Amino acid sequence: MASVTTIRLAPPGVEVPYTLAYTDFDPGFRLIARLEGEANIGDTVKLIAVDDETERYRFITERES
Amino acid sequence: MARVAVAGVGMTNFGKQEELSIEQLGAQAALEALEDSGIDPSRIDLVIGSNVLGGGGAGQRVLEQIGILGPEVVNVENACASGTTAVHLARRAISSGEANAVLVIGVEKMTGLFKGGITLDRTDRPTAIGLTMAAIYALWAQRYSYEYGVPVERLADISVKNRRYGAANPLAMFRQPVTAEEVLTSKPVADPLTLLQCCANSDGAAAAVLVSEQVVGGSSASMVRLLGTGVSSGREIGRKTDLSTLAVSQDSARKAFSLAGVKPQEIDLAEIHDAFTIGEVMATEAIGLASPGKALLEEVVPVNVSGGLLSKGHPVGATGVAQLVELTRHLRGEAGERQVPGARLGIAHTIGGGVSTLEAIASGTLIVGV
Repeated sequence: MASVTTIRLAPPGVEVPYTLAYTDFDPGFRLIARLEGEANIGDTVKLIAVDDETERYRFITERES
Repeated sequence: MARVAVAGVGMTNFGKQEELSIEQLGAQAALEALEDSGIDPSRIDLVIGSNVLGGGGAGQRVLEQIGILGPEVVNVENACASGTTAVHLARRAISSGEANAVLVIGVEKMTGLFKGGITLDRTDRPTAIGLTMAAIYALWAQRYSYEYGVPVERLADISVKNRRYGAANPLAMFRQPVTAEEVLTSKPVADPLTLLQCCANSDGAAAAVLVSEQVVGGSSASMVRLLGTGVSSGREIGRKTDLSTLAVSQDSARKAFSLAGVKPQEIDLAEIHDAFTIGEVMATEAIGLASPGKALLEEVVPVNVSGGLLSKGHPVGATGVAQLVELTRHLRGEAGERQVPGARLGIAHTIGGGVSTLEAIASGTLIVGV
């Protein structure tokens, strides 16, 4: 994971808190997605598909999986 | 290349000004800048308007109020770098000899537009999953702290410094100093950023009259000059993107320094885009005023003696022009209580972000000197 933040103040209608992270994957791309669970920069997370047209995928911590 | 002089500047109060329209705010700043310049309005051959949220045609709408009708008018939008971009385009027009006297007007009316921070009205996935402006900066802050081992609590130093400066600026929105404890215990927004580390929405306008030195002739000796400007756009965020470095601002600063023929070590004061505390820290390093990772740790020239956006609020389209106003007043020795003694060279910086997967929309840098 390259960086991570928990958002606690969002536009009206968006439920808080939620966590967003940038994560790097081989061979060389970086994705942004919501993170389930708690993780720090440098930790390994898994990418899972989400049944939502907008979100499409999110990260989960090893523990959550 | 024709040399460019800052002949006149003007600026309204920044803050909640519900009773004033975009047109009225813009007119107030433009008239002050024109009067300050001593240039007859009939000599203005180009007007550049900077506005982001006002619905278009801001330049013409302001000009109608003050009776300047007919000259070429261009309206620019480049997110938070709009005002800087407007000044940059004026510099290019004069340097190339295509314009002699340019009026730049930056104006924004934000009160009533948003609940809370700016909502990014876009359909890209990052925005849709909740990447707010504060979240973008928070992700930079976390990475910056991780890379350089600077505790995130140190970011409060920026709010404390800028609010202390802002107390001396009668045009600022917030004039009460704050303590580090107040900053850190204010409402959490996006970890590690708290409310007092985020600039406020604000209404205001700023204007400048930029002229070719030939226009001002003999009176130009003591005049503030716009020595260099640079604007760059952001690249896609990828695995190689260093989230603790503002590459786009390094680029815009490099262009401005190259044109100006001066070095970062020669700068006396800076106005830097502190939309969020971490923004000032990273930009201070990007434009060369501090080494990487050291902006909070080593001595830096005075930054944001205007109070910055953290004190003035951030009327988006006006911000970059207001920075030029502040620097000009210091270089003329007219900055009153907050004057940086003997200031001869100043730099201003903005960065606008928040689109899809780009590191930024644009970053702009201006360098002025006497």
